[in-house]
Amino acid sequence: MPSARTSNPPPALEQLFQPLRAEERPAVIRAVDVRKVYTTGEQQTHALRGATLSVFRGEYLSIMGPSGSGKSTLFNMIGALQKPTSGKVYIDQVDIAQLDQNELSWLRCRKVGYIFQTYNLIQVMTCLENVMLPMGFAGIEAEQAREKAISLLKSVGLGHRILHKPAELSGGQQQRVAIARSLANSPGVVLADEPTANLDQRTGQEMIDLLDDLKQSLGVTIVSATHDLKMLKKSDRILWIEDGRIARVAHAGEVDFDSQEFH
Amino acid sequence: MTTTIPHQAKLPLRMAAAVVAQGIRIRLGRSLVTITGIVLGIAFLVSILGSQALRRGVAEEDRLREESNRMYGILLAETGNLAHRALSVAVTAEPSPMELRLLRRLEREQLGELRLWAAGTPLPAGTFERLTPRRVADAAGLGQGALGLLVLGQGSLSGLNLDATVAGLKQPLLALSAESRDARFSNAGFNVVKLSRELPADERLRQRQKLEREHFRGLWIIVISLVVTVIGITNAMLMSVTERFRDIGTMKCLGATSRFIRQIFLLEASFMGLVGGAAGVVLGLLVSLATYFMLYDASLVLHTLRAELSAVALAAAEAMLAAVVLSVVAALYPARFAARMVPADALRSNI
Repeated sequence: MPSARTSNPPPALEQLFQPLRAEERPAVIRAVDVRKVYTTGEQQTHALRGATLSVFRGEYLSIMGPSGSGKSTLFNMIGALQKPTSGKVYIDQVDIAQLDQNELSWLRCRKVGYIFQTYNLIQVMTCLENVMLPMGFAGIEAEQAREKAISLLKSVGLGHRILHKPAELSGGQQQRVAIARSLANSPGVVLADEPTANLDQRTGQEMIDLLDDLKQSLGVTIVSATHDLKMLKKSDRILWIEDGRIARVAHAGEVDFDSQEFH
Repeated sequence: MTTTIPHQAKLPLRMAAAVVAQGIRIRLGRSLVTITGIVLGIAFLVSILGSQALRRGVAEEDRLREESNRMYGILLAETGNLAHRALSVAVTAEPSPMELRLLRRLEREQLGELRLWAAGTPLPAGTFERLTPRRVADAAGLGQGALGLLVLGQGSLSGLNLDATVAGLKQPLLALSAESRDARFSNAGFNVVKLSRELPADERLRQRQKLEREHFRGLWIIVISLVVTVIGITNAMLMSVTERFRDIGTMKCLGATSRFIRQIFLLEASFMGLVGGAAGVVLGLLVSLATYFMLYDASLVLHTLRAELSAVALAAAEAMLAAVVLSVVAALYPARFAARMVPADALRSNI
């Protein structure tokens, strides 16, 4: 197995992003030749073998890849949840490899919003408290946080249920609360990990429409890992990852969604 | 061109407290189980500590009891069964509490008749509940048919014909409750038994060693019970951490620092320590008081309690402190375990 630190030449960056360069949008996230090696005893697993990508402000990027492809690892790096073994990951111009645990907390709190497949609301808290939580972590005063949380819950269509506990809500409603929570600190990027996987077709579609609305109205940048065709069709770009490398990046308009790989 | 990142703001304790309060309210059942463990451990501790304070107060009572029991035992060995028999008692001076207790003990053992000769010092009212001593003035009436003559006090028996009295007894038994200087007791015909005695040195040493052993054993039991309590809390907290893995990971994703997560568990532990400690102190004091009320006279216990109030309060305060400190110590490992959790784990849906 090759060492993680052998310096492969960076992938053909220019080629990969040529069509996007023209848009000249600033990159919220930049990953440059990111490698990640997990060591368990003697065994070394290369999860990422030099991934380079940019996520631009206000775009909706979907990441596709089979399990074991390194998709989760890439996703975690973009979310400042893990540091790369080598390479650079910039979130809003900040190289996460340089940060200690506290600084990573700071970054996650303010710069990244998370939407989970299983919603991950804190069950003991009301919807309002769930949305207020990240603002509390950011040190925002309670009254101000409360106002913002209420307006966020209204914007996801749950203004009438702010004092309910998650268990009293349907899956779709819980995911709406989670979306409101992800936006609490106006992050530069929202990470969505299979956000529709636990929802039925119709609720999933509602969620996709809601994310699309938020993207349009608030200019939120969204990165999602998904296999949901409905979501893929809404995204601006789709990125395929295979065997730890980025295999392909394409605009949704250029992709043939009727092809075999989507079925 | 990297922007500088400040350290994550220290999160207000109030927020951690709110999370803890919610957590405890929701997981009331589990919290109560944990708290019960603390309550029992602390109740045990406080009952031992409180008992030590109370025991000082009743130590004199214990000594009297033990001593009078011993005197009774010696007397009984000489006279044989006293039930429904007659015993003569000569009171030479105001009887000591121990002597009164010996008399009461005789009454309890179904003594049939008590003949009393007193040189002007009668027994205080209320010495007996059932027995009515028969006061006699002459030697013949005192001695006739009784199992022996019990002499109370160090005073003189002048005025009593000792020879005549002893002659009337079933056996020439003279039991002296105190060291007496009356020369007539040395009469060779009398079987003189001294009920009071100085403990020999080796006996005293044995008693002291026994006390030390008991003290050490008590200490050992306290330590063991507290260790068990700590392990119980740690175990319950670890389960609580495992149960909340996803919440912890989610909070870390949302920007919670490790310090905040640690704080949550330490706060929760100290809160449970406070509640469990308070309940344990109340329970422990109630149990030890109930025990003392059962073993001793109520007025004596109340008197002791008043006298030793500060010592009992100190014991309660020590137990409270122990409850909080032990809970926090018990939570250190689970809290660290929780704080070290990798936030990425929250993204995995199978947790």
